[in-house]
Order: sequence, then C-alpha cells, then structure tokens
Amino acid sequence: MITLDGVHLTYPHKGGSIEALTDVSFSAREGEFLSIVGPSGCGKSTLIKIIAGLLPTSKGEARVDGKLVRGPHPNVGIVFQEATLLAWRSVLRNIMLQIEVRQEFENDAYVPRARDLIKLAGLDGFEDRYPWELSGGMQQRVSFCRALIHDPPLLLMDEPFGALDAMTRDEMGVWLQKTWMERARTVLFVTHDIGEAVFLSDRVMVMTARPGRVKEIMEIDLPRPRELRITEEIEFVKYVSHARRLMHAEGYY
Amino acid sequence: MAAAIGLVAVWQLGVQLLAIPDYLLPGPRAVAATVVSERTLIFQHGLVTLYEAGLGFTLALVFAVPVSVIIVWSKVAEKTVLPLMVFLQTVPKVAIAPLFIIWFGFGPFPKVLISFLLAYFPIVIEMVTGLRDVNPTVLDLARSMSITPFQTFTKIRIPNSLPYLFSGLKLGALLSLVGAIVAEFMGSMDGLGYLVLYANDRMDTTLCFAVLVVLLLLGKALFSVVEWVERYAIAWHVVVRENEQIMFTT
Ligand SMILES: Nc1ncnc2c1ncn2[C@@H]1O[C@H](COP(=O)(O)OP(=O)(O)OP(=O)(O)O)[C@@H](O)[C@H]1O
Ligand SMILES: [Mg+2]
Repeated sequence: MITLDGVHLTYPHKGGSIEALTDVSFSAREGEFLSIVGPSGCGKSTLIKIIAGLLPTSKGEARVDGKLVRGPHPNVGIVFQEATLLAWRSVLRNIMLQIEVRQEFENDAYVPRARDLIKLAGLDGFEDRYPWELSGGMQQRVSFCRALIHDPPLLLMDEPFGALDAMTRDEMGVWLQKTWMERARTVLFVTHDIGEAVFLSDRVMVMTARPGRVKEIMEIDLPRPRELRITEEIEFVKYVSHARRLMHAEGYY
Repeated sequence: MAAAIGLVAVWQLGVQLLAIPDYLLPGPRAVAATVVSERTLIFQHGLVTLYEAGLGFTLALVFAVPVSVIIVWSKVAEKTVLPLMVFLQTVPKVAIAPLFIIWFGFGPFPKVLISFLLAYFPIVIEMVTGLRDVNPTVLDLARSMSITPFQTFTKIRIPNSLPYLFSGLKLGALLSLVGAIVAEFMGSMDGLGYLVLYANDRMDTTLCFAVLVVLLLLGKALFSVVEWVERYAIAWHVVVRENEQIMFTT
C-alpha cells in the first residue's frame, strides 16, 4: 500500500541545510495500522507530508498503491495535531469542505454520510454549531470526520491526540480503534505516546533522532478489540518498555 | 460614555467659573444651542460632506478588495503594485490637495478623490494581511484535498480576511471623512470643512464648535454603520471576539 524506498529529505536553510530524513525505507501493508514514534524533530511530520504528496523528497521515492507520489493524491484523509477547522463554517460544513473541494464527488449525496459520521463521533446535535462552541476534543473529532467523509483507503494522522488531556486521549483511542475495525483502512499514526502507539497498532515503527532513520519496526501481537485494561497486562508493558529502551538509546528523555 | 459626560461637565463648569468669552471657548450649552438654531445650515453642508466622504469610501472599498486579492494572488503584483502603493502613500495627501483643486476645480470631484486616496490604503493593507495570514496547516490540509488556487481564495483566504477587512474599513471610514474635510479646506463653496472656515472668518467660534461636534457625530455614525454591517457579515468572528471579553465585573 505504502512503500518508501531510500527517502532523504533536506530542508534548505540559510547557513546550512537541515537534514530531516536520511535513507528511510519501510512499507505499510494494506489495511494495516502502523504507528510512528521517535524523538521530537526526527522527521515524523515530514514523513507524513511526503506520503501525502505535500512535500517532494530530496532523494528516493514514495509510492502509494504502487503509484509514485508526485503531489497531493485523492485517496487520503489527514488529521493534524490541531483540529484546523475553519472558524466561519459550521461542523457540518467543515466536514463537507472535503467533498466541495474534490470535484469528483456529488455534494448532496454526502450530507447524510456526514450526519452519520457526526453521530458516530458523538457530536449529535452539534451539526450547525461553530468550532468555537466546541471543546478541543470535540473539534478534533470533527476533523476526524472531515478526514473520513470521502471514505479514503489511507488515513494519515500526525499526533491527532497531542493536544488532548489524558482521559479524552484514552476515549478517542478506543473510538479510533472501533472506527478502524469497522472499516479496515491503512493508517499511519504519528504519536509521542508509546503506550498509545502499542495500544492502537499492528506495528510500531521507532525512528532515530534527527536526521531520522527507521530504527526498528515492532510487531504488536495483541488480540483485538483491545480494551483499556490491556495496558496493565504484561505483554503490553513488555512492548512499551522495549520501545522505550529503543528511544532511550537515542538519548531521548 | 461616562468619561464623555464628565468631560462635557468639566468643560461647562470651567467656562462658567473662569468666565471665558464665547469667541475664545464657548461652553457646551452654547454649542448645543447653535447646533439646534443653525440646524438647516449645518444639515445642508453636512449632506455635501457625507456625500463626498461616502462616495470616496465606497470607491475605496470597491477598489481595495480586488486589488488586495490580486496582490496576494500574483507574485508579480506583490512585487510591483504593493511597493508602488506604499511609496505613493508617503506623499502627504494634504499637500497635493491644492493641486487637485487647480486641476479639477471647486466641485465635489477633488474632494471625493482625496477622500478615496486616504481611505483605500488601510483597507488594502489590512485585507492583504488577512488574505495571507492563514494557518499553514490549514493550507496543507487544503492542498491534500487537491484544492484549486481559485478555491483557496473563495473557500479559505477571502473568508479568513474578512475580520481584517472590517478593521480596515473602520479606519477607512474615518479617514474618508478626514479626506473630504481637508479637501474642503483647500477650496470649496460648501461642506462642513467650508463651514468651519466660514465660521472662523467671522470669528463665530460657537458655530465652529457646533460644526466640529457634528463632524464628531458623523464620524461616530460612519464607524457604527461599518460595525453594524460587520455584525451581520461575520457573526462568527464578532461573537468570538465578544466572548473573549466576558469577564467578572466588579
Ligand atoms: N519547513 C521547514 N523548514 C526547515 N526546517 C524544517 C521545516 N520543517 C521541519 N524542519 C526541520 O526538520 C526536522 C524534522 O521536523 P519534523 O516536523 O518532521 O519533526 P517531528 O518528528 O514531526 O517533530 P515533533 O515530534 O516535534 O512534531 C526538524 O529538525 C525541523 O527543524
Ligand atoms: Mg511533528
């Protein structure tokens, strides 16, 4: 589904360029939930942008569905750390932006689907509210709906729970797993939180400090659906401490 | 409001206690009386000024909005039109007003022109800022949706610029009034600017003050009209701004 082959990325910068990624190669399987963890500044957001076609690689290539990424492609939904909702649009119209902008969709056909998603996200009754009337967690759920409305086979998420409190994070994690299990799509999920990564993922990719490389990809062999209880079980804790040791080796913490 | 009432009270008291003659500084009561007694005169001239400023302001709005969009749309315009505007802005309008009178005569045209020239600049500057000042992550998101450049403007940049546009319009409304008055000073047979000069010539300080008070109210009225339109046009922004001001009152 996603293949990166020897990807390098260098940001031009006055007084010397910044090397963000060196020789990143990995692939994500169709329908897989793959998390990416690594020290701050190791190039996780950069990686997401490359796969989304927002940033050209300096060297090497990225492929989605076997096709070389040469710019934004249609079959992707993105969620960023900030909800990035448009202040002048209601919840429903924020979600519909995705459809309005993409010419290939019939607008009206997607309104019922948007309403369904709003319900699934627990935002019933908030369709016509504006972003400033919602809590941070609710706003982030709206941006999830916006990423899902056109039913993309690929979801890219860059620390989508980063701005939320611990309890909302847990709830959103459970919700995301449920959503994903209902309709398996390939997910790349960037996070700082190793526990969150292990909880949600089929595999966790640990990256080295800048310039980022793939340090190790861990297979998480835990049964689904996973409940929050699982975080106290020994296998879970083993995965987390293994990942943490990998990060420690990078001088993180 | 309370401050304004206090100021008027101090003014009235000071004038009375110090027995200042009206031709030096008339008290608020005398000024108010003149506003009432000369209301037809002031109204006639006020209408002229309002017409000039209103037209200048409208032209400024109609000109500034598309020009701002072009400046942000095109790199070339950004590098040519904008610097040219900034450069022209350094020319003092008050100094070229007499030239316009020479060129265009004593009619309303040079007044409208000066009014326009004063008003358009803050509108362009504010709107350009608003069109540019979009969260980069929002633009990334939009690009991931394969948004067209045209849609980037209609769906993101222009709505984003509206709060900025309205703050430019508030400033522009006041400056359009200033422009009309200044041009009337330079050569005119009517308008409130003319009336101020006329009153000055006759040492009628009270009438002078009466006109100034009317000007003040006119400025406030123009400002309020813009604010009122803003409330309807971008309720989503106005409400947020007002919510931020909710606090304990002690
Ligand atoms: N637009 C840019 N121009 C120049 N350098 C950049 C730019 N964006 C990122 N960088 C640099 O590239 C490196 C990787 O950045 P990136 O945002 O991908 O890191 P990250 O892993 O997402 O970090 P975090 O976990 O803190 O979000 C950083 O060292 C940063 O300084
Ligand atoms: Mg990041």
